[in-house]
Amino acid sequence: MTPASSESTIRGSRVKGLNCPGCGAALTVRGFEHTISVVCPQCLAILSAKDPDLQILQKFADNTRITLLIPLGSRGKWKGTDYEVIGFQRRTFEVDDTEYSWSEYLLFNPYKGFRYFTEYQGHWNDVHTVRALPQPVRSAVSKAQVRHNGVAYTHFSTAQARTSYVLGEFPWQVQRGESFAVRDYVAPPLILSSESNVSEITWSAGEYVDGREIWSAFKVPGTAPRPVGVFLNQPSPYAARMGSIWGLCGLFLFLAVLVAIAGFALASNKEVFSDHYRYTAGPEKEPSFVTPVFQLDGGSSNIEVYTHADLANNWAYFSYALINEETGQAYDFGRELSYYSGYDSDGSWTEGSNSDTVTLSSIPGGRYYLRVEPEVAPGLQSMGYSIRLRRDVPGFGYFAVIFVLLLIPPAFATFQRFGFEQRRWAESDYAPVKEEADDGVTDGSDD
Amino acid sequence: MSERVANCPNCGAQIKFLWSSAIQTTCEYCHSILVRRDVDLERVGVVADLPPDSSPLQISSEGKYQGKPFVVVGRIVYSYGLGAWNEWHLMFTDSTSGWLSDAQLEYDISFLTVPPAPLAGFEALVCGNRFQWNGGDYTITSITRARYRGVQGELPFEYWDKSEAPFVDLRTVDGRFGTIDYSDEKPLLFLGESVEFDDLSLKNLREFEGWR
Amino acid sequence: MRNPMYLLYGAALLAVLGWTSYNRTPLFGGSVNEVKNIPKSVRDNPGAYRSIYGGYSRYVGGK
Repeated sequence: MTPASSESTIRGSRVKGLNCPGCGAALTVRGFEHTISVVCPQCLAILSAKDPDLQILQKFADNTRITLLIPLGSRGKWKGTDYEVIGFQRRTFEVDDTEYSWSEYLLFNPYKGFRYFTEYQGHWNDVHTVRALPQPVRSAVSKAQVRHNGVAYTHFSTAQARTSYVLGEFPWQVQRGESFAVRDYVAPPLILSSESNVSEITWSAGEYVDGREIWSAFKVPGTAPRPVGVFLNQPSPYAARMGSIWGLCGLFLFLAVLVAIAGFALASNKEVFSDHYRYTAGPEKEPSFVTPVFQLDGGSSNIEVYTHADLANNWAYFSYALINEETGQAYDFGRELSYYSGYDSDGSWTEGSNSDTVTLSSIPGGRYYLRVEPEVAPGLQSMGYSIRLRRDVPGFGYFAVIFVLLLIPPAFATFQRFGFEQRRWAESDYAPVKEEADDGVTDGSDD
Repeated sequence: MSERVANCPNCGAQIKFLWSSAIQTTCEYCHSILVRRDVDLERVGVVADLPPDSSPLQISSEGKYQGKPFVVVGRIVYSYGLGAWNEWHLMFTDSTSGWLSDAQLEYDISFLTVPPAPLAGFEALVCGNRFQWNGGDYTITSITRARYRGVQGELPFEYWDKSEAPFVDLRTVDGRFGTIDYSDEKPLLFLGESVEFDDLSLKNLREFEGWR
Repeated sequence: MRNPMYLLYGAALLAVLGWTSYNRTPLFGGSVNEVKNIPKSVRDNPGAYRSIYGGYSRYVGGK
């Protein structure tokens, strides 16, 4: 009769004396009395660990063996606790007649219990069962949501998954071919999944982890496989920067507006000269003339020259020189005006403009006059025109350009983030369907 | 009765009580089940082989729940399917009792609670039924027809040789736990919460070969 | 500091904006040819001034 209280130290793997009844291979049990099924490493038969004769529960019919990325018996420190990898499961589901599989590694600590690493195409998750019930919530988006531990998870996919391959040992009776409806809900980097069949439902919560952390913690030989594609709860590399870049952009735009307003308010925008004239064609007439002297205030600033001519299907060219009366410095420039209009089968049209504005920069203050030499199209006898000069005008050109330039990086970042999320959701039940698809879920409609 | 030491009526071995209010205990040597009757202990039965288990807890393990220290003084063992679990009886320093359920290293603590309304019969309940107790919204998550396998140590009531032990487990969205024990004529309600190993500051645990 | 590049970029753009606002620099300014030492006699005889912007026609003005 076994004593009611077992010895204080529990013996480890009962390697001695445990052999597979099917092929005779030696068996290792790492989970002490928690282990209910153990898989023969040689013939892959599933045996009952609670039966003294290790009754065969299920034989292995297939021929393909799977090489585990993390070998059974690997030990590592994870989140401050030592764990040992004691079991492995391959879960397979079907979408559009194509089979996809993910792997599950069962980790064990005799005090803290069990946890899982799941792996799919190089994407890893650290998963554990949860006992607090997730709560369905009114979803603000089109997809169903559940709430757990203060986090709202959005439904990503539902699939019927069957156990296709097992190795190692399990604290429940495992069976190849056993099928569960798996519902995944995501709140990247977190995931919440339910597994259910007609008699039970179990919830698990997981967090996306970089495979390299697992390789380093468990001293797995080689390197972690590179992840392919975007996984359902993979954190977005763009998400973290989003809020702050738009925040910065808002700050910069606000400051730019302030600078623009200051520039506008501080510009004196003073009209220093304005007059109109009439050009009359004539053989001996000297077309050039000079304006009266006017004052340009301040140190170095700009001057806006506005020219308007009464043009009708004609052109006029103005050769200007802004001359400082005291220093003799001249600023030489020319402006062309042309204006044409007409009427054709599409309606009336115009081309060009009969006014012109140009801003000259860095003109020192002082007493100036303008030398003007107009030239008109041949044949034009008479043309009225006016010239107006303003000193120290504000400009909005740089503001507009810089405003747009400030928006480009955050817009690009948003575009990148959007693209990432699109690739994430392309794998979900909500991706735009290319052809008729039945996801084969057998436990009724989704809620 | 506040006797801390007594003798086993069957084999004479010394029985030391960790808890002065224990109603029932077992003898470590002859595995008799002993019930306190006024002055003496009465032998009412014997414990059959308990299933081997790998719980890290043992009688005399200590811990703290919400700051209140406790000692593990006894257990009831149940099994279902091929697996088994323990209901550890905790004695707190103020001499109150609690229960720590240890099923595959998932821990739930609970305390005997008087239900506000009489409990429904076992046959009437299904998964998904909801109840409101002590401000919590409980939903039935599992209905188990477990088997009684044995007792060990000190218990706050008489309990032995049950045939069937039906249980109904309930949970809430905020991690509370409830269980209704239908193994006696009168169903008993226990309410508490799920806890993690680290929350209990456990000491004097069993050791496992190859593990610290 | 999640966006150091953007911070530098935005600060540089704001500096440019501040500088051009202060200097009243237009975005598209007119190109100007500076000529020195224009004699005061041009005020009396504007035709004597020789501009490189002579326009489309041939050289006019008296000798």
